[in-house]
Amino acid sequence: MGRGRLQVDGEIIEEIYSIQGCNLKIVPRVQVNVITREREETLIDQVLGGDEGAYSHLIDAHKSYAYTIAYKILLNRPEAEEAAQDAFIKAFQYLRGFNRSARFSTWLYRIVFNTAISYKRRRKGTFQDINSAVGLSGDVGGRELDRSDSHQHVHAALAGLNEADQLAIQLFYLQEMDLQEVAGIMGQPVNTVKVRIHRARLRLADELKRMLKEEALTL
Amino acid sequence: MNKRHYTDQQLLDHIDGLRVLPMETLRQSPADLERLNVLLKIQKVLSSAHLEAPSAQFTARVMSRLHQSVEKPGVSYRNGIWLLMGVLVAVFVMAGMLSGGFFDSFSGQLPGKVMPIPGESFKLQLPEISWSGKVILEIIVVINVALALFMLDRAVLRPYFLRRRLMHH
Repeated sequence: MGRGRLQVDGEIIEEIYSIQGCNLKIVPRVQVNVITREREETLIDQVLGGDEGAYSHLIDAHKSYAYTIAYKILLNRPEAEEAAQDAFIKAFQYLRGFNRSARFSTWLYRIVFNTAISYKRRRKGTFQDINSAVGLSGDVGGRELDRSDSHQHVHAALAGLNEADQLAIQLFYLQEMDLQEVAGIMGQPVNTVKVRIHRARLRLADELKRMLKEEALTL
Repeated sequence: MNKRHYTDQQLLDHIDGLRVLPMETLRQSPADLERLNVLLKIQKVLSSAHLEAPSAQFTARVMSRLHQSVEKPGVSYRNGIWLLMGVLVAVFVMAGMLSGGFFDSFSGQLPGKVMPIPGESFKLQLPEISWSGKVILEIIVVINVALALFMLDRAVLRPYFLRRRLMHH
C-alpha cells in the first residue's frame, strides 16, 4: 500500500493507494483531506460564528476516520454510516462546549465511539443482518481478491479477542493513530490501552500459531 | 533445541524498533524465530488496515440534518421532568392520605367460593381472603417511588451526564 499527497487550494489531499497484482495498477482507495490544526481552528471559529457551511470542511476531513471507527465497532456499513453521521451532528450541536486545548479529532472520534457503542447496545436482542455476521474484517465484496491467507487468519484470530482489546489494537494500527489518541477515543487511561494492545498482540500470536498448526495437520 | 532465548516482550520491542536482537542468536533458536515470524505477520496484516470510505452523500446528509435531534425517541428531558414531578406529587398525596388514616377503614374480606368437585359428594370451600386498602395503597406508593427513581435516572441524570461529558471532554 502506498500513499501520496498533493495540495489543492491550500488543503492537502491525501490519497492512499493499493497495488493490485503484478501490473502495479494504482487504485485510489480512500481520499482523506488532511487539514492543519490552524485551519481546523479557523473552521471551528467560522462555524461558531454562524457559518455552518464551514462545517462541511471539517466533515470532509474526518469522515473517513469517523466512519472507519464506527464500522470497526458495528461491523455493518449502513449502521456505521448512520452512527458516524449522528456523531457529526452531535459534535456540531455541542461544538460551543468543545475544549479548545484538546484536539478536535480526538473529541469527535470519542463521540463517534460512544455513538457507535450506543448503537451496538441498542442492537442487542435484535436480529443482525447477514453482512454483519460475515466476520470481523467485514471486507465483503470486492476485496477478497487481494486478501491473503494470513489476512484471513489474523482477522479470524482477532474475532477471538474480547471486544475492547479488538478495538484497541485495530484503532492503534489504523493509520496515524497513536496511543494517546486511542486512549482518548476509548476513554481509558493510556496504560490500560497499552496493556490491551500488548495482550492482544500476544493472544493473536498464540491463536495464529494454533491455526497454522491445525491447518498444517489437515493438509 | 526448542528453548527460547527471548521473551515475547523482547521480540515485540525488536519489532517496534526499541531494541535490536542479534540475528545469529535468533537463528539458533527455531522457537524464537517462529514466534518472531508470527508476530511480524500480525504486525504486517494489522498495519495494512485501511480506512473505510463512507458514501458519497455522507457530508450532504450530515449538513441537511445539522439541527435535527439525534437522540433516539424516548422520554424527552422536559417531559421526563414533568412525569417525575407528577409521580412525586402522587406519592406525596398518597403518603399524606395514608398517614392521615384516610384508608384505615377501607378493608374487608373476599368471600371464599364453594367449588363443587365433579364425581364427588363433597364441595371444596376456598378460604376467605382479607384485604386492606391501606396495604394496597402502600404497595402502590412503593411502586411509584421505584418509578420515580427510574424516571430520575432515565430522564434527568443520564441526559445530564451525557451532555456534561460531551461538553467538557
